[in-house]
Amino acid sequence: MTLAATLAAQESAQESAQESEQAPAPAVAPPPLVQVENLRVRIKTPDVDVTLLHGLNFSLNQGEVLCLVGESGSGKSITVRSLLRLLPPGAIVEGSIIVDGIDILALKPAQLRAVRGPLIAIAFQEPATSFDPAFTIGYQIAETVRAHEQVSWADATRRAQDLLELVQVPSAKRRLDAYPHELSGGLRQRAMIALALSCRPKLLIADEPTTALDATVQIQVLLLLRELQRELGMATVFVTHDVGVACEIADQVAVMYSGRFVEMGPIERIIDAPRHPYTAGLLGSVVTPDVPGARLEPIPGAPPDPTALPPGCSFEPRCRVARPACAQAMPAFTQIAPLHQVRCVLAASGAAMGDIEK
Amino acid sequence: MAGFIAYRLLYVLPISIGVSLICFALTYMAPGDPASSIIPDDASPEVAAQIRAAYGFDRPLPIQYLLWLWRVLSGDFGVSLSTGRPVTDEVIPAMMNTLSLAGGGALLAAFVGITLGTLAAYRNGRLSDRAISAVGIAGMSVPQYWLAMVMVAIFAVELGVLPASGMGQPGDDFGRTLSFYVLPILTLATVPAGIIARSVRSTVSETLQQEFVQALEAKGLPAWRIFLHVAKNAAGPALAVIGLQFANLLGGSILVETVFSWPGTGFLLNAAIFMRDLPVMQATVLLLAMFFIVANLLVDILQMLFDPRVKSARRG
Ligand SMILES: Nc1ncnc2c1ncn2[C@@H]1O[C@H](COP(=O)(O)OP(=O)(O)OP(=O)(O)O)[C@@H](O)[C@H]1O
Ligand code: SF4
Ligand SMILES: [Mg+2]
Repeated sequence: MTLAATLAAQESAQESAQESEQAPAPAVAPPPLVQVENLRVRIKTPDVDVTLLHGLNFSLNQGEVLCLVGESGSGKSITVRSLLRLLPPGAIVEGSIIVDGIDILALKPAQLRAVRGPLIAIAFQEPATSFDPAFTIGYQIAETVRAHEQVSWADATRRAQDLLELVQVPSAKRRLDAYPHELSGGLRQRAMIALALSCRPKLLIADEPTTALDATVQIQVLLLLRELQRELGMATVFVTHDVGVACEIADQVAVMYSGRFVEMGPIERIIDAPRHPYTAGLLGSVVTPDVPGARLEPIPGAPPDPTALPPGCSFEPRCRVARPACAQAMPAFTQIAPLHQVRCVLAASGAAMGDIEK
Repeated sequence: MAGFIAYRLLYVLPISIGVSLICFALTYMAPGDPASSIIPDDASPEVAAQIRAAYGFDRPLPIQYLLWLWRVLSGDFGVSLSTGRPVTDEVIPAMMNTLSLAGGGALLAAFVGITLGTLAAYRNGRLSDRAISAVGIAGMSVPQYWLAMVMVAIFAVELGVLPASGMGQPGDDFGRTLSFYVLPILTLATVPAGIIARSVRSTVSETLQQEFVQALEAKGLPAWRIFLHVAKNAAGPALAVIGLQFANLLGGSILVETVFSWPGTGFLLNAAIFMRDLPVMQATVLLLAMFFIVANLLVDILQMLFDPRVKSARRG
């Protein structure tokens, strides 16, 4: 944990330096670290033309964790990759993404490279395919450090070792010389997290970092991530399709369906009083080990094809409480309580989901 | 690493023994008594028997093989039946000439093929990619003989800037000596360049599609560093193709050597077959085969250096 302490110390030193420069400090709350407005992503190539994100709005404060939850294909990866502008060829991004005061969408290629790593870093779902198989773990971490900081290979390698120790890789020094295929899945994912942390990012993106792992290893990696996130004070966007995982780590939750947020709010509210039928369905499909006889009822049907969305509410074809009006127009994303927004015609009635179904 | 090389060397041993057996058997596959080409027609039966005994033709076959192998290993390939000189004096210079031609051809083919293939992969699907692919296919499928004739017609006959045949005189200056290499090497390199370009293009573009390339971009690496990763990953498969092409060039230069009267092994082998000069045939085939084997071994070792996964996969 020595590195964590150093990182924290440096961070606070930097902050106090900034504060003294900007003195007198403003009395108002600092602006959120991440501010995304009306984010739209469309893929347009000779073969396809499809809109994948239909105007997302969210913000994230320093040190907070936002979980994106939704079924496969709902656009979670596209959303987080937009933050890094790491999108498939032919992607057109509209709206605005401000991270730490930087307008990400306006960056030139060299500026974008400078931001990737030190400001925003990402840990991918599949550590097996996200490391280059032909280089050692140590090299791949050290080269990242060297791409952003003027340090020698020796120093960068030492940092790589510290990072591996930070993510609790046993015999870290020896693992520096290991190739990715020589590590177990869990260790590889820890190394991937070490890589993401290598330039002390202010915003960490974790795109289903535990999905590819065995259940027991999943929990270990998740706990490690939560610990690191708190210790380093990073803002984190965490992608998962597992509400149980979100419960472990999230401050805020955004539930995604077909490229839109359908419900967003603090984790407790979402768990205790989901207001969108889709959220309720997701929660219903979670088996919580501490609730004996918990229901397992996956939502019947499949999400619509993004090239052929229904005209009204995207969830209408699968919704058990749909009304005729639902097929007419897309419901607005409505604020029903401070910080709690829902996209459903029934939300305005003020009833919690459980009541509606009764 | 050392273990892997030892393992591959062990693998080479039986292949080499097989090759030597085949070369040895050449003597007996040719029609007639192998000794008859050495024994003068008018020799008495006693003299003939003496000659047979002197060459060991009266011993059992396995013993003959071992004797032959021992001589070969100590560098004695016997005497050329057509010139009377030691076979090594004939074969080694020819081998050097072939190697320099094949080596030059392979280098040129590799350089052109890698450059074009990589460019095409990075320009995936665009006009320049399709143009390069078309050139590559044309290069692959052009008949060597025709290409040689056309180039001789243009550069040697029409423009008169390059010599059309031979290797020049011993006293020639460097530039002139080099000029004799140009047309044969160009002819030799065209087909493998096309093949290499095609395979490098597909290897590099497959590599570019792998997830780790996006991960490298996500780390904020500059483009040239990402290219290093792509190159190291693509190097193994590309080397395999290049090594194979080089090996092909070693054996496949017979046509080009004949067209350009290049005094290499192809030329020599052609003459030896014509003259039924068995010792020269044996030595040439054996040396070519050994070069082929060594080239393959080197490719394997290089491949392992580039791809750590090969090491664990083949050991396991
Ligand atoms: N290059 C592309 N061209 C067209 N459509 C794409 C492309 N990439 C992704 N999509 C589509 O975008 C939608 C959202 O993809 P995304 O990867 O963000 O889903 P996800 O929520 O991360 O799902 P998962 O849980 O499977 O990772 C999917 O329907 C997918 O088919
Ligand atoms: S708007 Fe209608 S269809 Fe959509 S989730 Fe609400 S009730 Fe269901
Ligand atoms: Mg995803």
